[in-house]
Amino acid sequence: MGTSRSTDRAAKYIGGASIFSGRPDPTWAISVDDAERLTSVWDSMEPYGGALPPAPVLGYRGCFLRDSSEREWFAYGGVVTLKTATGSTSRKDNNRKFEALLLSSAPEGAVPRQIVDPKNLS
Amino acid sequence: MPIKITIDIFSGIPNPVVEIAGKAAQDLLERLKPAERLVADEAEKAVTPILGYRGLIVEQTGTTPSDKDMPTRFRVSSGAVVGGGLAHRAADADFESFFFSSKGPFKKVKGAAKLRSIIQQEVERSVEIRDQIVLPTFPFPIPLVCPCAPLYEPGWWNDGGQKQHNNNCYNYATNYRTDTFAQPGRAAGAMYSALTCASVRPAAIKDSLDDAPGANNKCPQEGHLVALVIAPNVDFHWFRKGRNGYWSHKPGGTAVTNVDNSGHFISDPRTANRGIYTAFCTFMVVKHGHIKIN
Repeated sequence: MGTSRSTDRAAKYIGGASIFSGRPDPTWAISVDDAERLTSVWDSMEPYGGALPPAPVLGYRGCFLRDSSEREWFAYGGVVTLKTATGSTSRKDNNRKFEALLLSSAPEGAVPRQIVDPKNLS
Repeated sequence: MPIKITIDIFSGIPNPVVEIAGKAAQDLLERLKPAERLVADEAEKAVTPILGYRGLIVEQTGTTPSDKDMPTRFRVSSGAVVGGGLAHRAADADFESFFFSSKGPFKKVKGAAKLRSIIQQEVERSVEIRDQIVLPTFPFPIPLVCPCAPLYEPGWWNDGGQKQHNNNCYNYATNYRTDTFAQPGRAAGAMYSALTCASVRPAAIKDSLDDAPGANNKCPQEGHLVALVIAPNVDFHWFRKGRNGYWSHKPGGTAVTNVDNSGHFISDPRTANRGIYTAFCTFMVVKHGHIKIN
């Protein structure tokens, strides 16, 4: 897939979670190796055309991977959506594998484990 | 001078139009002369927009009207003539039946034969619909539970960009845009040191919010009511009470909303489903122009 593969080793990748209300949401740098693992999972996913899973108003609302080309993969509840300048496409995230892998890449304490624990996602 | 009659029925495609001139025009206007005046809400019902047949729009299109006693533009609906000072029964209450009959002016419309039966059914249906219309009534003055509270105008905050992403629950609750993701106490150099009620509450007081633990969900005489809740050792969150007495909030950089985690309107933040923000800390009052946040 032209829009999904091609992890750029020169690119910078940022991970983040939408979780807080008062504090700024946590973001963290993602290594190229982790980004390649994540895009590899993305490449293996099946297309998804249903409604996006609703997130709660308050609390954990999903996590994202962004690259320096302004692509963003947003994961929540078993669906990952890739947004680019030209549009968006969603794929099915079986067992929330992409989401768990992305959250696991966060440094200790960045994402409160009592609120969302990647080990208990699926 | 000619008259133009528009059959106001379609929504997407153009409405059919009939142009009539000379004596035929004068005869039609004669049939539409006002008879007895409409009573109660009949005139309003006759012009209430509905889907389907909405009436005939009659316009005297020439430089000199065919009939100077009739308005240059008015509507015929369910046997009534309304507009341009008219709110009356038409002299010929069955004008529309005549208009759409095989002898009436409708025959001049292209495809009239095909459309006639559909429109005739629609005309009958519109009479029934208009009979059933219940016009809304508004109490006046509209009661405002909290007249000093800010307007609920989510569209202003939910721009999907600068305003939405850089203003948080504290900005929204205090109705104070800073574009800095404001933190309690930061403007006063006394930011909270822990994510507890004991730490965030005095920090907000340093920003000149008035603590009002006994407010009990009642609007203040001046300013507006906000509520501080805490996800212990994780985060803080604020709600604000609106003019209608219900609460709204802005979870971080996401959109302003007026529902809680159960999708319910929020009449009292103490009893709302607040998700991880399990600790209700206090009510506070924001006096407009008094506070300073950053």
